[in-house]
Amino acid sequence: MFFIIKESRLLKISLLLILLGILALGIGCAKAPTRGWSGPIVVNNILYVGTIEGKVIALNLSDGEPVEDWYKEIKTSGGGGFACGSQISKPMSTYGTPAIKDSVLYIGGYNGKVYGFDVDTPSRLPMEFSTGEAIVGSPVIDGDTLYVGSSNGNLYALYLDLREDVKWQFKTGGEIWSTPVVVDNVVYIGSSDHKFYAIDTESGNELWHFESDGAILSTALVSGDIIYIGSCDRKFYTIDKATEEERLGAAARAEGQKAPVKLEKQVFDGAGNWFWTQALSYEDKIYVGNFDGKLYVLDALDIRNKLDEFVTDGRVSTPPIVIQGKVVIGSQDGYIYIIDPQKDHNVVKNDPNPGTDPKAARPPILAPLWSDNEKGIVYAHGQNGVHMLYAIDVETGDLLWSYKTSE
Amino acid sequence: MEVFNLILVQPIINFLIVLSSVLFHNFGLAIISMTIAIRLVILPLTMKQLRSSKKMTDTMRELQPKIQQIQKKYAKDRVKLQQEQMKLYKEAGINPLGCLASPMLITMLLQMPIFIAVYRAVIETMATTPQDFLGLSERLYSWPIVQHALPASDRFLWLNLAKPDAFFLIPLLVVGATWISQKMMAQPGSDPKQQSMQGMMQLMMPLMFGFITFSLPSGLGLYFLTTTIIGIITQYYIYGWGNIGWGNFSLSKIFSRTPATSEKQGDQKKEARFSKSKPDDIVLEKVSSQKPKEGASHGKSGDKRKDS
Repeated sequence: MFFIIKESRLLKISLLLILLGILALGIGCAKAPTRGWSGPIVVNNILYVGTIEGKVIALNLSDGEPVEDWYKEIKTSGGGGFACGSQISKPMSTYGTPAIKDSVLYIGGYNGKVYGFDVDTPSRLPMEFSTGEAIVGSPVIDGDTLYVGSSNGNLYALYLDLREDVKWQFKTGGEIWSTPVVVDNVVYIGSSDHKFYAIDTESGNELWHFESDGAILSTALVSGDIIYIGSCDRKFYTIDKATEEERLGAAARAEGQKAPVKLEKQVFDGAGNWFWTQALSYEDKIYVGNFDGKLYVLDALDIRNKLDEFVTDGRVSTPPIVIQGKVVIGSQDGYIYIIDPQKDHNVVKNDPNPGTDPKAARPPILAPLWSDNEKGIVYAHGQNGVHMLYAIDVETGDLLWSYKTSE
Repeated sequence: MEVFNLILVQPIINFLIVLSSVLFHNFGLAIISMTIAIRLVILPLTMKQLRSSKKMTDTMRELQPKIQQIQKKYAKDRVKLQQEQMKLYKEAGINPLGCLASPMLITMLLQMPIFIAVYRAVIETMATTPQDFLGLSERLYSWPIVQHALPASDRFLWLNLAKPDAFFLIPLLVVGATWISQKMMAQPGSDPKQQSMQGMMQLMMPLMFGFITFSLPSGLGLYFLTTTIIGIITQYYIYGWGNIGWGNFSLSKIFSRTPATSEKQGDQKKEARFSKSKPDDIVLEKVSSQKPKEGASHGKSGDKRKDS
């Protein structure tokens, strides 16, 4: 059976199909790119930071110049729509801040892999461990174990050579986008399943978990016997730290028996949006940023008592740091805020892009800051289109130098 | 754009999240329910458009004999033919744009801002990357139910709603549903060009939406499939099955350019086609022993076959 077809109509159909294909390609491949908010780390006067192009670069702080021939690429396969190619390799972004131990730099990639790069021998091939799904938090090293969370919901305890065998892995009910915190043989981690877990570092057994009303994407602060943790239910909680009895209880718990639920001690519910950052404890005060653009100052002994607040023009997702007695935060309005508790919380607002039109948008600062307490310098990584690394003098608030980390 | 976000995108995002929370934390069910709710809201407009279209279809059917007379009378004078046809349409109150003014197209254009808003809402609510989730924080109302429901589950049946359908079932279903919807609404006409354009639309529209659904997250494909099925149900209420003759269904009719013909009209069309064919056109003739059905009525698709 044949159909009556004219060649001219066939041409029209072909042209239309080509146009549709281009449209589908455009839609399929034009999805929003993954970005990253990798913070810097400084070891031996060399600053290491992940970039949006999927590289880890090294800057010599003596002269502010890149270390020659030192950059590492994190490559992966994967693409956008059906026609965007599932076999094309392309760099992926990094979110977490690197960790360094024994001259090995560890970093997690959005491709789900943990990499270990030899810092002293750039040509050496990296070690790799694959979790299967994106790594957004930072890896943490305690002793001879590396802890990292993955979007597949697992918290991994890995050997430092990143061999395929794991020490243990713990499954939560949602993505892990925060950084683990290890204190006294207990690792604490939040998950998007609305729970905050305490896990024994040796066995991987759950000691207990705390339940909030929203996803827990923040990294916990453990100060003394208290855990401070914020949630996406717009509340900030304190919880008692895990005790040795609880650790022993977890080891003795029968298989299949559920771990107990821990209740909060206190709740601060005066914030306007999500908590997605680690808090800072300094001089009996808790400093914590919020997506409503504010930095809250709470009484460390009773967080229901708000002592002060500072307003920025953007979301605050960077953890506050202390440097030379001053509290410093970055905001997604692109500014650095230097707060002096000794001078009645006087605030200096630093513009990392001096000379720019005040109304122009600045690269938001999402990544954790890094401080050089000795020199009084804070390093910040601004990311939005143009990615800039800044070095700022905390005493004067002046920009010392900036370096473009994106191409 | 901010006004658009405030009026449409943000309410849809929060509505979707609330629905997913109520419907067993199932985002797929939330998309389906929201689609039904949106279609119910615009139902009066849709029904009005469909009734108007049916009226036009019926009028066109009544005018067919007169149109044929004009075509016969002015077969050699195209300018005069068009003038007389336009005059006839005008007297009968018919929109000469034909398929371009089809209620299907008008309804779709009206739905376009809603579709764009739903597209944005589904993408932002799925929040596949940390940046997306971060951006979502500014779209949410302060209702506790909204905070509790996040992050939204991206699993529904075999689908990952944040990614294209790996089994291509949703795009295929979209193609099929769109074709049925188009075919039901096809208007009869004697103008070969109009019918040609209509036939082209009936083929290309389903393919276009199928193509688009291939690449988009399956959550959006699910929305489009649901809205198309609701459209079919609504059209059935007004039109019945329209131009779809299920008893005569065959592959050849899918590629038919002439939805409604009588035997005489078919001969005239064949003659007109050959008289316009260019020497270098390739023409492949269909060979079949089937004779056309006697008394073929308007509204049923068919194609005249040349007897072997």
